Amino acid sequence: MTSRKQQKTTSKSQRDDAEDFHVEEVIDRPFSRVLAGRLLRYLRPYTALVLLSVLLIVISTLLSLAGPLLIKEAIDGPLSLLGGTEEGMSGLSTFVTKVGSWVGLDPNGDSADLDHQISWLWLIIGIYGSILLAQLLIHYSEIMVLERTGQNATRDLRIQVFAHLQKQSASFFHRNPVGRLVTRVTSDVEALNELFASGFVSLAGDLLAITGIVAMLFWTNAELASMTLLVAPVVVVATLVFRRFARRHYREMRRRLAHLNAYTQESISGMEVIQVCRSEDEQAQRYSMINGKLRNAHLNSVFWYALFFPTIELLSVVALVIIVVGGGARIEAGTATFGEFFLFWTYLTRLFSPLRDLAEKYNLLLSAMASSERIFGILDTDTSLPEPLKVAAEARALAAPGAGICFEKVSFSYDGETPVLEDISFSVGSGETVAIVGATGAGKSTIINLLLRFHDPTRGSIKIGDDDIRNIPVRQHRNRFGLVLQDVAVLSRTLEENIRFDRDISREQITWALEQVRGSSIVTRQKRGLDEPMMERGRTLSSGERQLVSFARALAGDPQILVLDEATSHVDTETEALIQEAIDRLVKGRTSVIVAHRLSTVRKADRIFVLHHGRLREEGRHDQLVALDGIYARLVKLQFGTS
Amino acid sequence: MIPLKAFRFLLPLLRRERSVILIGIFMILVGSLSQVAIPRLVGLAVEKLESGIGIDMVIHIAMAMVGIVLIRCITSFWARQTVIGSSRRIEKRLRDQMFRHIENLDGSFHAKLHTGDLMNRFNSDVEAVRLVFGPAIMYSVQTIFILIFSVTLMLRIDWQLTLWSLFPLGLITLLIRFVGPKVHSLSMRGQEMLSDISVHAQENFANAPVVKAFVVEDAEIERMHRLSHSYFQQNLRIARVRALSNSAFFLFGDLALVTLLLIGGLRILSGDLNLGEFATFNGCQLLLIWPMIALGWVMNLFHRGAASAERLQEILGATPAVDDSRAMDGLNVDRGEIRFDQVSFRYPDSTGAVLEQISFDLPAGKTLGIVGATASGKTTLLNLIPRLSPTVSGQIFVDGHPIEKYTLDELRSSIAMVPQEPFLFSATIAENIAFGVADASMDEIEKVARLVRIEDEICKFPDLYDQRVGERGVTLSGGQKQRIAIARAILQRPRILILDDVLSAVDSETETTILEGLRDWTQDLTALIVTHRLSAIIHADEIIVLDEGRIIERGDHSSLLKKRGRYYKLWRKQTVESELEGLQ
Repeated sequence: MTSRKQQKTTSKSQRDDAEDFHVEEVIDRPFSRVLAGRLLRYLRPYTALVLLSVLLIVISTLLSLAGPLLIKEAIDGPLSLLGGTEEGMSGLSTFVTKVGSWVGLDPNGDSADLDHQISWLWLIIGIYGSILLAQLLIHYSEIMVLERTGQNATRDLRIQVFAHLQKQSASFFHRNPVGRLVTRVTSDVEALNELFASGFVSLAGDLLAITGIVAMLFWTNAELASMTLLVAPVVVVATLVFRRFARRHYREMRRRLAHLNAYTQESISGMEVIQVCRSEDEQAQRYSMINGKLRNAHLNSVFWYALFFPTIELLSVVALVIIVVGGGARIEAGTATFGEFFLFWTYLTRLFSPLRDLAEKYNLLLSAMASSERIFGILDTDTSLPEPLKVAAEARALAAPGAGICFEKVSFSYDGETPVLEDISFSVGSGETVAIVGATGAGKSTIINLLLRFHDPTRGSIKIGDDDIRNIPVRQHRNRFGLVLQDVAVLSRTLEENIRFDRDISREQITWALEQVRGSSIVTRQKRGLDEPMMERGRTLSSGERQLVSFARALAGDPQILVLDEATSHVDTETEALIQEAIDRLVKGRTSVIVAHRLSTVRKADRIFVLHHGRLREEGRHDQLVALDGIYARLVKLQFGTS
Repeated sequence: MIPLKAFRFLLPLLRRERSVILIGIFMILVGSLSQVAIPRLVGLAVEKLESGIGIDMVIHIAMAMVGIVLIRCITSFWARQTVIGSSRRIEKRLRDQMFRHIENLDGSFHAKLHTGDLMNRFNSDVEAVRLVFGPAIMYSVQTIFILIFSVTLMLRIDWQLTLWSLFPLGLITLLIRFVGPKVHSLSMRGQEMLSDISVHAQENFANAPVVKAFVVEDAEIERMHRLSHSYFQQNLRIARVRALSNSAFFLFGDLALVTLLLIGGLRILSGDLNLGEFATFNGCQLLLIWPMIALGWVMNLFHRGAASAERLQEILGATPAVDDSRAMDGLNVDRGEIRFDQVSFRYPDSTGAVLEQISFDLPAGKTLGIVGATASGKTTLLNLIPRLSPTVSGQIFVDGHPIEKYTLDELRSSIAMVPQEPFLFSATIAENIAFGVADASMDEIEKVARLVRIEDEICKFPDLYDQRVGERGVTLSGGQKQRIAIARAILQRPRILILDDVLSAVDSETETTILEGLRDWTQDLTALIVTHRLSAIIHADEIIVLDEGRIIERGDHSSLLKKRGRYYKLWRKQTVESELEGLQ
């Protein structure tokens, strides 16, 4: 293990600077039917929308095929000065004739008559115009339906991932960096949005459009079609090759950009050091070097783009040349018409974009595979605590409101090797306040973690009343507690919402709780009172105020049992007195467990537990422990000194 | 119409690329000409066919087409390579320039602008400006040329038909011009909503224990549901505008065809137009659709770019409040005596003073301890000495001269400062220790490492002193980082040493040994030490206690204890704490 780690670091230092920075893991994955199938399941609730979008795509593809046909019709029909090519009337011209006679025109009259030709032309234009309008509507609805489907599926997936994460154990959040989990809920889900919205369905649309156009070309002139379409596979291959290179450079660009950004950020944060050390020049030179690598990556990618677009243009003109030569020869031979020539030309311009899209969608699919693999990886890990089998415990647990806490021979280890708690037994009576003291790493916080069932003990059991807490549904168990942690979680919501903390608590209760902990002045200090939005991490509050907010939060829920991890941060004496007073009011009439750092708190506790190296070393009231003249007594002597 | 003024300060950057860009523009010129030639040739071919001249002629035309498209391809390749390439080079130089500039700006600038904001300017604003110098220039020039050439061609055939064909295409430009900003502002709002989602997720995950303890998982999911749903709705709003404009593009594109078919058709029937000319028009229209779309897009780019350019100018136009303008040449720091005379400081745009009327006298070679609660002004006081920020009023003297009389180089090279957050760069350990000392030998580096008691730990790394420390030194512990930062300061051989709570991450025992080890070495230095751990400064010649920017107590350790004031209280508290630690 160690040697492998070392090896890894060794090779790391030999790679270049950019390796110091973490860049998004994998961006592509080969197509997997399993993953795709799982993704498709998210579309199932929206089957109706999917079907509707398929229908709309079919219609709009068919309509878009009509334009070039009508142009051909016009050129071979009214605009054909050769006149009288009636013998092989196509289905479309029969249709045009029918519409004509319906609106009172007869295109089959004397074709030499100019007025007649003009009205025939108007007729075709009229049909074309109506098709355009219909297309406008259908195209609009098609996009909207697709987008709605995709957004729906994305939202569902996001909520599912988030909800799944809510069930995970506390240790799961210890193991996984917050940033990475956030990425799963945001960017990874976003990457799938595109696939849901435009991937699956419009892939079908593109295929349909290509098939339609190819069919039309063959139907019009099979020989010419087979010559022209020789270009199509080349376009697809060119696009795929280009995409591959572009993607490689894109990855390189992202890596370089991440490096540059990290370097910039680092330099901005360390600006004082740079300035005091007078290494502005060196720093700027390194910046310029990293920046230069990014520029080179960009320039490489510019090269491929510069190559790609002309290639596609070249291919489209080659196809056009084939039409001009091949079509020209056939027009001369009388086996093709000018109308067909225009039809080929127009269809061709419409064939290129779905062909290119096809390659584009393929890449979309690959990156969606990578994202979905990561997301499903999260969904497939379940670390939630086992719920008790016998639900009968529920009723009993509720019936005992004032129950005390009992630790029976509890041992615990986070990694299964190093013991953190060993053989801890104690009980806390209902309404009693106990303080746990001890040095850092003595296991004080672990007791809290076990009590709230963030972890289960390795050995021994914890009881509330008569029930082992493993037999109580987790939520019901935790509902009894009010928790105040050392690091106060102030969220970027309003002050009121921070205290309510998503529970069903009225504004009156909130005001009451604030009054109880003597925190009302926080509200009056805010411009918008309780509605004042808090900054990230509660930057606008002082550390004492943050502490009071978390007290109010715990109190507002009117918990049976109060658990405090008292703050040690450097609060001034005035705040300390304020907090002490708040604690006194909090614990009144409640079973309370306080991890205490201030002796002023400790002294007032009904009983004091002294933890040392994971073992319970002393236990008793303040004066008893002082009389014992052990660890605790030494602390007290120091605190109060000669006075 | 286009706010070109905003870009004026960037002209020097553009100038260096002038010849490349001119070549690019020439390429675009030739490219556009050949692009317009294609429909003309198709038209010609149709004309020949119509008049029955024969297929031989058509083959010649086809060969001409192939030749021309090859020219077109080559020019288009080089146009992109030159114009887009130069925009990337301009981008690079612009970033370099900005970086150099912010390096010279003082603390008041950095306090005003958050890191995130500054990063945005380095990224999205620079990118917006680059889009103007790259694609925007390329496409606008291309559109202008293609318009000129194709309109000339079309006008020579039929001016009325020309107007009719251009009309629907013009609508496309207008549409983009109108829809673009709307989509942009809607998307910005969408981005904000996405970041709300991300903040919610982040806060939830980071506070998982609290969320669990309060059993509010369901409510948190409900909140995520709400946020996701409003994001969903916003995305549909964006989709609606996009869908409308997309369908309108199709409509206008086809409308151009229909107009051509109708008007052109009528002209053919009246004998004013032949089918070949009709084909030319058709080809020109197909050619013009993309440039007309690009035109609208480019105009949006210019507007967005102008706004970004202004933001960049805010940075590049900021003048450093600290410079060498009052410096006297040849004035050196010899002894390192420091005197503060009635020094006050406040941040710009803020009313509360951070430091008020601070005066003290620190003779050369003596040590000053500074104590006080968080945000009492300790760090600010220290930052004033190397002029990281300018004083607002009062005067700081070094060796009897106001610090402004020294060049920044001289002043700062006589000072070594270790900030509160030890700052390591993602480089090797040796590079980090020797930061700012270009000619440090390996021996010297090892010597200072020994002084700060980190040598043994470095020897455990596989690459020893060449071990890379990762981004901000992530691979090291807090204590290791702090000691490396101290080693760096020592290596600079300063006259004045400034330590801002530098050993908070090591236990007090290690701290004492480190400080003991340093004592010999720092004997002659003037030192200012901020600390939370009073044991570190009991030997200081003078200690000042700061509270809300004022000195509330001063004296040496024993006299301060006798006062039974703030310092005494702190001292009591810490002896208990260290006793608790000692119990283990």
